[in-house]
Amino acid sequence: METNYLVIMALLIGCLATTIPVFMALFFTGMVGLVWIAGIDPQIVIEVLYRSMDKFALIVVLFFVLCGNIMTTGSIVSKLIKTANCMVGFLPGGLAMAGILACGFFGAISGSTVATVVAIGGFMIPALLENNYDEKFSIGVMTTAPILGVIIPPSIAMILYAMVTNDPLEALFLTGFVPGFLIMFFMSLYAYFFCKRRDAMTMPKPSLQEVVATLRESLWALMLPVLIFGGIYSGYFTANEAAVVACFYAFIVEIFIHRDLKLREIKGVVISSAITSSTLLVIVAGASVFGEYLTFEQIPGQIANAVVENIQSPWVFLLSVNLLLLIIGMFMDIISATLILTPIFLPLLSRFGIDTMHFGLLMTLNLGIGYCTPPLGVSLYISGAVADRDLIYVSKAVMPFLLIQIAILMLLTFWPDLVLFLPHWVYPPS
Amino acid sequence: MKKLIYYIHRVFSFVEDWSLFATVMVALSVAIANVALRKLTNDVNLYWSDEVVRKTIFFTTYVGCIAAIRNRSLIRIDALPQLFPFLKKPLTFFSHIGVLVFSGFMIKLGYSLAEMVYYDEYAKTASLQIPEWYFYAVLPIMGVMMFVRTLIIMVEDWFGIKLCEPPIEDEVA
Repeated sequence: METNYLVIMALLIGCLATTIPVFMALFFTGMVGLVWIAGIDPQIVIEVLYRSMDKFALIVVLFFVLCGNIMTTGSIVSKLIKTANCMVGFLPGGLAMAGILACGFFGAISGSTVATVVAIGGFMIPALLENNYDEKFSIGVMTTAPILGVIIPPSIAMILYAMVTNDPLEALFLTGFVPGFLIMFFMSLYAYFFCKRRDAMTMPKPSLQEVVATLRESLWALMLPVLIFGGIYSGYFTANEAAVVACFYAFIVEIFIHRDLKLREIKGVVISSAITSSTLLVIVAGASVFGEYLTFEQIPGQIANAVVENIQSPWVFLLSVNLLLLIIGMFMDIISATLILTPIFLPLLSRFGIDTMHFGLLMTLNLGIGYCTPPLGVSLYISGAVADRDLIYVSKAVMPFLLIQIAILMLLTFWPDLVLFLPHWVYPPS
Repeated sequence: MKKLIYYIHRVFSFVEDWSLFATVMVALSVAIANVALRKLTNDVNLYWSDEVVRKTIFFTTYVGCIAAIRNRSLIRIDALPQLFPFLKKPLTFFSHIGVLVFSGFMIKLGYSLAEMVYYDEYAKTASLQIPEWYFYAVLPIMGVMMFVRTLIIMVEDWFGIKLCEPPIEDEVA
């Protein structure tokens, strides 16, 4: 039996390493396991592929992706940056702080790190350099701050995690606010001291009229997160409904109020969103086939037994998992890793008494950090292309910020209440 | 030949783009209408809207996959080609072979499953009573379109040529 497991594992790693699309790698592995090893009719495997997409909850992914794309195509990014700049731009390191804050704002609309790097980083890195900020510092801050895109809700990785664990999505979303705030605060603090020490240029403090004018201009954009979270946490909308309403609102605002989305651009935005969401959702289909094999052979349970025999402390377990996820995050994208690894870790969480929502946040944060960890983090390459710098330069630039994020990760790992107090306060456990 | 491939690309792109656009807009309209009715009237609700949205998600996911092949945007782990750039060409070729094999599975197994559901007169959706085989048929159709698309981009990648751009008339002549 162990030989079979080794074959399956080698096949999965082999397919992934040879750049076969992730969902097909999962499909092939699940197919080999179910059909050739377990002797199941191959048509059942195709049926699994069909049924896995027949779920209403998946609507959230499509519509949050669409909402982010509408806003990126329109003028939201420049409005968010302008607002953030107005709020903190006059402090030492203010423009960098504005970039971090804008990533936070954008993260509250979009659910993806890459989208945030492209939308905010592509705009802010040149802006920081034009304002004589240190180049390495500028690249570092705008490569790592977009992690807020997956930490601050709505987060696509969290949506898919909730689908696997059956955690209430509304509560899981709440786990992201405190970590998101901590990341913003400590990165901004570093930016403040770094720039103050170097006497970096600061902007004049805006007058009250300027603040009011900026807020008025950005009001419709800033209302979107209010609509999403206000709707969800007042109990007026479910997360699914919030995604639909957010999309509709974004269309109305960008077409009729901002007038920055032309009618002829709508088709392109919708198609590109459908393609982006399909590249994410199809991994759910592949993971369902692979998950069917794992369940059939009771592999997660066996792994859980083996781990529990060797590790007794939940803290040691969490520390080991953090290390493992940080390494995996360097090689694998967050969606694939979440869908492949969650079913394997899930039985272990109950054995160690770890809250699934706490673990979900840690997993998302770990894999998010992986996006900007050398040598293979996607964000490094995007920022490198924007700033026209090589990988080694960008890798050195991100180091101080990575250390801050890893320190926050450790804090959140060993202090679960910091993550859980908000969801437990809003949704008291029965 | 180049002209034929270009026209196949145009037809496929037309089908992919318009079907994706139409289905997403239908899903958004139905979903927003349902939310509005439920919140504003308290008792009126489009009982079939969940079904429409679920089928739309299914459709857009698999049709979107074909378009993702066109855009080369399917998610894959490209660690090896980044570390060893000389492996890029053989690995890309191998990856395309993987996609062709997957398409083969979809054509063969998807077709037999769709055929089986076709003969089941009770296999209809719960709310709108649409025959389920309409949706199952997406799988083999996806298989065929994926197969053709992959062949085109295999040739493009291997020979470094662009087959999906309008052919220059002199060249065609």
